[in-house]
Amino acid sequence: MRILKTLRRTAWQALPTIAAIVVIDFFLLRLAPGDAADALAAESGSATEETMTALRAHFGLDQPLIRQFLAYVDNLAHFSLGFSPLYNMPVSRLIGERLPGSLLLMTTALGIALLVGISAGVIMSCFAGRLPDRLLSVIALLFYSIPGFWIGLMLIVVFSVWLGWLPSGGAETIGTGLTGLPWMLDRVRHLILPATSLALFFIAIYARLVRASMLEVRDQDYIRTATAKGLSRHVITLRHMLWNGLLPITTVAGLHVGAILGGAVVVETVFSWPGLGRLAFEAVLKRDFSVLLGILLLSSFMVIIVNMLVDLLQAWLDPRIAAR
Amino acid sequence: MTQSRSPRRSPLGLFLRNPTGIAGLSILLLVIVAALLAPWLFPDDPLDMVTRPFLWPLTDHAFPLGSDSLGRDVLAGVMHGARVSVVIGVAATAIGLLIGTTIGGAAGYFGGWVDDVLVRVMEVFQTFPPFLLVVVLVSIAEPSVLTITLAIGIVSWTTIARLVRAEFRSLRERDFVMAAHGLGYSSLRIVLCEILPNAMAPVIVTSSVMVATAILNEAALSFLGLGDPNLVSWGSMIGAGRDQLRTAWYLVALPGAALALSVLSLNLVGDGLNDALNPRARGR
Amino acid sequence: MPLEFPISAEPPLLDVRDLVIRFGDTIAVRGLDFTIRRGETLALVGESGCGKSATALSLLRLLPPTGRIDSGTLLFEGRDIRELRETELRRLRGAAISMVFQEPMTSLNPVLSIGRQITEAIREHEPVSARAARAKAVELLDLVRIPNAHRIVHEFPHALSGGMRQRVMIAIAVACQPRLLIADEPTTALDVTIQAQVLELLDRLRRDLNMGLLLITHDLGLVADWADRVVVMYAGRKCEEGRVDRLLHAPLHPYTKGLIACSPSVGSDLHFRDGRMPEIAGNVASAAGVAGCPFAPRCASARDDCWTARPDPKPTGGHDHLLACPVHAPATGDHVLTFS
Repeated sequence: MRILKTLRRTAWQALPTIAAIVVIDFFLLRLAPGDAADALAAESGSATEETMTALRAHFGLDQPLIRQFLAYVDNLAHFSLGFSPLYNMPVSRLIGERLPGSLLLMTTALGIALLVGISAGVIMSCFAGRLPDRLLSVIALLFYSIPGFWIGLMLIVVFSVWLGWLPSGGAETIGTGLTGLPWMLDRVRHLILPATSLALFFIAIYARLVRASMLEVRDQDYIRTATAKGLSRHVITLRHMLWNGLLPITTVAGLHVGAILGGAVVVETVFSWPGLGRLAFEAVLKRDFSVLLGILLLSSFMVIIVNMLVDLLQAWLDPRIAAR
Repeated sequence: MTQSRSPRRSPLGLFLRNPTGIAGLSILLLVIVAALLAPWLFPDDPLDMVTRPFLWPLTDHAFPLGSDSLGRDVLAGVMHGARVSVVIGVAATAIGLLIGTTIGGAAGYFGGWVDDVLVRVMEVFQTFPPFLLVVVLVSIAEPSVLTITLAIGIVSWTTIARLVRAEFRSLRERDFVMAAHGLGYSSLRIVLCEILPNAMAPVIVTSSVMVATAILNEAALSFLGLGDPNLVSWGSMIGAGRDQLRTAWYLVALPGAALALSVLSLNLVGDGLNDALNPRARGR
Repeated sequence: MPLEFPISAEPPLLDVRDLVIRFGDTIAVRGLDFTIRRGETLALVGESGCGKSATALSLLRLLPPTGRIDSGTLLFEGRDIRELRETELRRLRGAAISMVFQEPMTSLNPVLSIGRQITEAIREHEPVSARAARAKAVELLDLVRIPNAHRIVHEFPHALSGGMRQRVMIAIAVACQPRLLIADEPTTALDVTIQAQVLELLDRLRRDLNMGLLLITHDLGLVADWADRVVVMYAGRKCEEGRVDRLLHAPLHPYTKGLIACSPSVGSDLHFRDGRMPEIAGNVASAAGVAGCPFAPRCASARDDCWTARPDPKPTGGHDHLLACPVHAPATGDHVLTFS
């Protein structure tokens, strides 16, 4: 019941933000010099006055700004994101084709980051101040400092060029017609390097966060109570400390969606991964605004949705929050 | 009104005794020196072709880090790249600090509807994936040092704004602020002389991280080819070297290592500052 | 209510000898001795900083990392707690010896339900099913007089008041029927009206389970109402020990006399309007560095030798009445009081 209440509250608060995003998105991109017609013309090589005017009329690019905006909002209401002159298909379909790839990459990366990061953080807090902690702290700092695209390239050098264990790009080996388990294994092999490159930065963040949080929890009175009950150290760490220690992660998780999306742009480019990140990059180079606008909008929506989910998760995890 | 700080264990003293902070500072100084010396040691444009292509590192005394596919000196590129990174990193952070402190400070100090509106603005900015927004902003205006710096600065202000707002909100209620009100000080004077100095500690710590993030953003931009076309930066070198990954991987490794080291040094300095300025926050 | 009981020949439940506890460079407890028998309430009384909480924590080896037991023996049912291995100690904790802490607001885990926190204590020490443990948890909540036990079992700590949380702590503490219950300032953080209820609960449980109850407090009023025997501590040392009824009516140690005078409910019928309230001048910090009696700097009857020679608690002739003050020892023929 309290979940529903939280849901309603956060959805209501998100509306003005969504409205603002739509407005900003639209006007931002209209500020840019040159439009899709210019880019198309440059591509095809022919740019006579007539063809340009015809192109513009065809894509509604010659209408006054307000008209275009209203048309856009109307489209949005019907879940249509407009049409891409360059790719010659509806933007929503284009995005729809690339979205699963990005989702797969990002959720895998997040999963890796949470698993490795939390475990590392717990270990670091158990050995606080001693060698394992110091060692892992240095490694975490290293992960935090290395740019995702560079580590991606270096991983390719090591695992693809030298060792030949993993492929250097793409989401799957094309043209082999694999199905079932071999197909899944093939996809996993393609997923490992890009997901790891994307995850490293966040592994460091979660490890440090969990470490600090666990150390804080360790000093709390209720841990002393748990010890006084005769519980073993394992039980105390896993049942009493961890649950409380993980709460701060949910707070930052929402903030990270944007960062992961940004990281995906470069990682997808490095690994030629078929996803939204690479699509965004291509759209920028070719000045295809409807695509770019669509991706930006979608990303912002994703951030908002994830933030709502995180609010719900927090309400579920921490009984004190829902009570307010 | 003085700050609440015991003179014996001053933050500077604590920082200087911290090994991580010192290590970071040393590397950072190296990077800054490289950036400063670049025009003297390598006065020619690093984009000039000066030797035969694909010279491996440590094979020629004149070119200790080798040369790239067009025969350009890698060491010159790395040194000049340091310059670009430092300049853009610091400038973008300065812009972000300015915007963020102003907006966050106003929100935290005035409260009420001002706070509500500004918090909304912060929220809207935060929903945009930062790097994607930078890419969009840079492509709207033509890529140049100015536009890149502005774009990165514009994207980075929300973190610091939130921090400053939180600090101002708590400091606003403190006794010495109320005393200043009682003495009739103007709002501006209170903010600049009483509140701001006490809010500086977390801001200082965060700014080193902001510089690191700005450098990473710039590198990613130039890697994707959206950097200033007239400059050599570490990101553009990595981007250019990507095609020769199989044969001349040092073209990617060397500038990337420089990049990683610079960012690492900034993070170490940030950690050291955090230990020095927030001793109770570290659970050791 | 204080009991009349004969001096028993049965060995004491807890026998602490010469306990020395140190925190860093400071010695918090110096050479403390006391015993507790089953069924009796021993109060450990003194101002903040006298070492009574440290003593309580040391009994279950729960001292924070900065503290350590330097020396002494802690005999519980004949075995030295200090010698126990980790696994044996864990078996003791919560089952044979339990503890109730001072801060009920922070002593319960906020993300686990009340029922869970009780059942885990039960299931740690007794091989019962989850369902049986839950039933037992409801019983325990009834036992500590928490209304709607069936509903409270599923609630979280934030839904309960301080007094209720302390009752839950007591329920957890007695879940496995301990032989010794240590209550470290159990009511200090609670309203006065709740204090009496909580202490009445502890006393009832002591009688029903025939537990030994170690009551740590700074409030002499509680000692007068609820304890059988009392140990008065000052700066880590025992000044006086004896049966509550005798000691509070005829205290011998200057510090005890001062404490009683300062405690309006126990001492005289003074009211602040009658004039200046009695106080003990000075503070505990003055005891640092004094080689002799730590109370000497604040004592009106201190002699020169009080500053140099450390007084040990010595019997004074009454039933189990010990006194560490050569100045005020009642003069008797055969008890020659010497200095150590």
